[in-house]
Amino acid sequence: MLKKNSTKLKKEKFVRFYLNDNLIEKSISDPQQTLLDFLRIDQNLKGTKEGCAEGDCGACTVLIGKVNKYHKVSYRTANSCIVFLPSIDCSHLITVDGLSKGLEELHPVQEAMVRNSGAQCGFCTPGFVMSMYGLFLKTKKPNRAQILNSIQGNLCRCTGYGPIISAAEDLSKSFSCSNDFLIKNNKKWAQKLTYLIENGSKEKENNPNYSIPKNTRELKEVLYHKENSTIVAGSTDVGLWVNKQFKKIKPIVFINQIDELKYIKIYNNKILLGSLVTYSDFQDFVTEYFPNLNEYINRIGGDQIRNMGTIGGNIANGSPIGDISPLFLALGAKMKIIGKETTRKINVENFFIEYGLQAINAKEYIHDFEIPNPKTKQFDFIAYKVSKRRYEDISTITGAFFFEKKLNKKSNVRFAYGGMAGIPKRSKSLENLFNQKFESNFDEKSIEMAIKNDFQPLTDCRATSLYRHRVAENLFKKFLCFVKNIPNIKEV
Amino acid sequence: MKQIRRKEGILRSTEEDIVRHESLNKFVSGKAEYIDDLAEEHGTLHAYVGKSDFAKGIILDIDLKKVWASEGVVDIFTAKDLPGSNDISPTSMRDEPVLVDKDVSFFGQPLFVVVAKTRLEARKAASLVKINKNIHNPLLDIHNIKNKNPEIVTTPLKLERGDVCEYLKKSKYKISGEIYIGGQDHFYLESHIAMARIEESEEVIIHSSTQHPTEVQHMVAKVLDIPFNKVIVKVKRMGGGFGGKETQSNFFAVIAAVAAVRNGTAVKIRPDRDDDMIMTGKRHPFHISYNVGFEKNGEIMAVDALLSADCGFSSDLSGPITDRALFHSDNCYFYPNVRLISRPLKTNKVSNTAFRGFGGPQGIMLAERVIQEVAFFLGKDPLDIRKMNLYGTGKKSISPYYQKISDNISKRIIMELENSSNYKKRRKEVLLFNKKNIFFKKGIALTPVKFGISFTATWYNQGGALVHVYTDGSVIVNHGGTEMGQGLHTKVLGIITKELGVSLDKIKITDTDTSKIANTSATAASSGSDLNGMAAFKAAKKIKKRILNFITKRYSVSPKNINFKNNFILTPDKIYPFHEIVKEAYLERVQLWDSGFYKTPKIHWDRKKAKGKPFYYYSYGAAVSEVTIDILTGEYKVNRVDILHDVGKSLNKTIDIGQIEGGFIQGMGWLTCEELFWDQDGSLKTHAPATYKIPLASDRPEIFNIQIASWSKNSEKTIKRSKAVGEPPFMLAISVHEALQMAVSSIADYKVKPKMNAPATPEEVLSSIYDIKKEYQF
Repeated sequence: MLKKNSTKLKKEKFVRFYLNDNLIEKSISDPQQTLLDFLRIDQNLKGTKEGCAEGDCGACTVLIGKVNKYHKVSYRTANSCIVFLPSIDCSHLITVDGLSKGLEELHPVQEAMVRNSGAQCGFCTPGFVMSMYGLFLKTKKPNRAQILNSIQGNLCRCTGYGPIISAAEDLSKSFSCSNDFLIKNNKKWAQKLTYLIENGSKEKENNPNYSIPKNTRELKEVLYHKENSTIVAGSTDVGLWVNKQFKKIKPIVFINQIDELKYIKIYNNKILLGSLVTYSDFQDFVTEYFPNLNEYINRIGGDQIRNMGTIGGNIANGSPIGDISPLFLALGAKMKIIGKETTRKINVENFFIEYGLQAINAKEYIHDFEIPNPKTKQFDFIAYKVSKRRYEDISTITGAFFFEKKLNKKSNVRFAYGGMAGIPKRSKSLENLFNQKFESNFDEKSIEMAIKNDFQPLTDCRATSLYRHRVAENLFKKFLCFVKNIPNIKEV
Repeated sequence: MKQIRRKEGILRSTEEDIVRHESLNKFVSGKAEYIDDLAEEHGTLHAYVGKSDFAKGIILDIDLKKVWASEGVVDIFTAKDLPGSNDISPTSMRDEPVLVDKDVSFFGQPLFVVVAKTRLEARKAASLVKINKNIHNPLLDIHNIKNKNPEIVTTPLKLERGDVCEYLKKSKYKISGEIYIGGQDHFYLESHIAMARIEESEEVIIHSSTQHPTEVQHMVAKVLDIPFNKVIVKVKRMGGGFGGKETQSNFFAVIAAVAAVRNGTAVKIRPDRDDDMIMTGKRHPFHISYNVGFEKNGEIMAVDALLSADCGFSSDLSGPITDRALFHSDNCYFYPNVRLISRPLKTNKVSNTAFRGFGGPQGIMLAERVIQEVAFFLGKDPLDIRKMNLYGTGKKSISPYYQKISDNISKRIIMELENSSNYKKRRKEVLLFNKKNIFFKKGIALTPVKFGISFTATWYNQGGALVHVYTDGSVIVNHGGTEMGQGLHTKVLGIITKELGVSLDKIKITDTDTSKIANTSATAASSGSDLNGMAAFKAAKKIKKRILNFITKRYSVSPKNINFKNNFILTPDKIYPFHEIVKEAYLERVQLWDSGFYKTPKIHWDRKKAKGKPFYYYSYGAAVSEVTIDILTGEYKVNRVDILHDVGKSLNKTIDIGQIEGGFIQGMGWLTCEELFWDQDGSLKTHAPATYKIPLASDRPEIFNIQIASWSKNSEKTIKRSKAVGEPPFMLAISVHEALQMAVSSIADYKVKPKMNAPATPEEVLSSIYDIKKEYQF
């Protein structure tokens, strides 16, 4: 079934990947074409569906396999509607069409869905199958929480989800990894992908429309030479500019193959997070280093978005409702911004100038972020996200609270909010209030005034200005309960 | 039938007798075809719609230069280019133009159509239009309609019995109140889509994602100005409908057909999700004001209510929808004196339309709100007030529209659920929890549902089917209903497999097709299996009778002793393979195919007199929901839900439970996280899943027990004594809304009734909290 490595790669075709069993070599005329359109229109593979074309419903879910640092292929779910083809260069793409032969020989995931009647209209079903398969590829016997997590990025309007969850729980008992075709053949696929990576086009790409730098040296060159280029990492936001606003973003620089930006380095007094760390990677890290933030991170996107989106991208967009920025603001994070001849280190706080304007130019990229190490430094840190729907929703408001108590000195306090202004922003008035009153009591009015002093939030489709004010105050109260260790703040 | 109870408490049938959805294998493997998956004819073009960018006003000029110049564009047409009628009003009100040429009535109204070589090219081109216009002030908000004679889209209805004014005065207590209930987008996962092609230069074949192929046929014929028999509409399946594809598919099918005729080639149109949400109607938002008079013990004496519906710019189905809201404003309760008036208001929004429940949910919200008012006022458990006011016998069984409620099982349903869910004990625990906790509060509520089954447009209550038995023993069934995930085809298969004794793998249901069954009704009003199931049963019965006659004659066996089972025909002496007998019968010139026709008996409705028996029977159910709210943010969790629901004698337990479960969650979405937001220009801002939030798997109650009332049997002679199940469970979610209110009211020791509207978003919950307790003491 697998072709041998001696496959002659065609020189003139730049993007190469495996689609189920087949090698695809494609010269890209339009780098803005989505993976979903490629599958459905060019390849006539109709199993993958379009529900929203903005990465929110999961009907288009596919698995993208990439070689990781352990020389294994790790398969992660992604929303193919907002993935551009060059993003999957050197990957192994699995679609629902590749899971079964005909209607009878079904994959165990598909069988479990049938057994449990996990579909009614069936339109979302291929997406659920792929998300569930993604779960079983990385988790042997997932529990209920992990199952719910894995399908947070998939919408179903018919079933009420019960039979889908039953299918996953059913499979959790019976799924045998050793027989799975991707797990069994992982080594072979790793070799094949490595061959693609090593035999890719090493010379400078001449295509004016896009490039795929493999390291930061190439990235610097590309950014320097290509005017007005758009950097694309996970495309979870840029995908919408293209699909919904018909924005022309050429030339595009696809940076997701730059492995040197994917690190998490732990030092004694600090932690460095590469800008291409995905939310999923970040989640694993948070579980160990900031267990308080687990629920917060859980509330970012669905699994597909967490696999695609990067912390660098979340900051780079400068969105007032990005979920990572308040965390970094409150942690006092620094960021390294690199251009061809310059390297700057600035406070993340200073990166956000005003709505739509960030302290970076088109020839620079974000290299990494530096945050304090909670294992060596004593501080309290907690963050809250509030949204209309608990999971997979854009935040209405976020609040992050950092408190480093210093004896006989002014304490180190940073409170940051998202969704309260045109940029993610610290509340200096609230910080002052906290420093003044920490040992005594806070009165309602002074909290309200501090928030009012710093913010004039908008009314929009997510909430009114009034609600945002009230919740901003209340999140601070939650934080107070947290630092003062007031009981009864947890749900029973 | 053996049943197993899942860990979670949901009754699903065991392996051996399960009849699962017929397309499951196709669904999971991605092989199930929706219209966008069908092979495209060579040269298929793609149409896209150009929309208005303002809500009300006059178009002075549409500048299409840039649209024409855009890549791939081959055709553009506007209102004046339509060959026939420029109207697709489904109720013949002539108030819904296909394309607008002058007077714009809502933001996103279709103005022109561009046809291009690819869909992307058509989409891009459509966005390049420049519209010169005079913008007027749009009317967007039904709260603010102060005018005594506001503009309405259709004739209101009044249901009246007894002397309301007199009894509101006479009653010991009287309470007045109001509630606003938001709309809801259908959010079927498959957006609207239609593909039209031309056969032999004169026939138009349309693949449409529609619940109502016959209406699509009529609309296409009208707009093209050709006879109905030149238009064939086919539906294999929809990726969800929920009412959103009852009338709203007409527009897309018409556009595809006109474009195909103009260009002499196949044309497909599939709006982007955002445009689908902007351009198509939704559940009606309602504003309801009410007065209730009651006695010291909680007995309701009089209910007087005005139900104002935000219908959008045209009538669409607003007439029957607001009628149904009134029909359900009693829910399970007897009002000795009652006056219910509907006000179908015109606004400058997209025309609102059918959605699971069809006005019923808003009516039942009123009924339950009235109960809550009484209970809060008297400081009683709302459940006690509910039980006291249930429909009874004799005089106490007459509805506000004078239909006798003769199949009432609400009392038994409520009592059984109260016990099985441990309601009393849990309510005590909730009260205790709230005493002990500051930041988190709980609520619990039990609400029932009674839902009337039948189209109130009496003529719609008919269904047709064809059954073909082939000489190898395989069978094709075709009926007038459409499959949208609800499992109608599976239920019909179940009926035929039992009747003919032929195994499921030998029976196939083919696409719904207007050239096979004529003059079909919409697959709506939960009626699909009642009407089409019975029609298919009748057709199969006719064929079976002929086969019986044939065997009787040939083998001299009495028909009483012949059984059809497992692809065999069993006689006392011998077993014959089904396919051999039908082959023999064929050679004997026995007709092995037939049609079936069914119309619902006993129903009648005189709208002018507001009297009659609009419903053949009622479906019942009840749910208990328990929630926890966070009083600092207004966020909440639904901790546990218990449901007991009546489906008569179930045709298919797996399918029925799927409808109950899915309906509940959809109803919960309507009342909690699904919020529609229009800005002051009338532009819908929640037009995609990024901003419009339907429930997720993780929003599902942590504990969810669903039981079917296994003892129930339809007292009317429906197919196998089953009951309709599509819509009724939707309204079980009202228990969540009430539980949230209880949690909120705990802050004021249940003394103040929260004025909570719907949807109860975290913001709505928090603002209710602030309202009933102005200052929070930290």
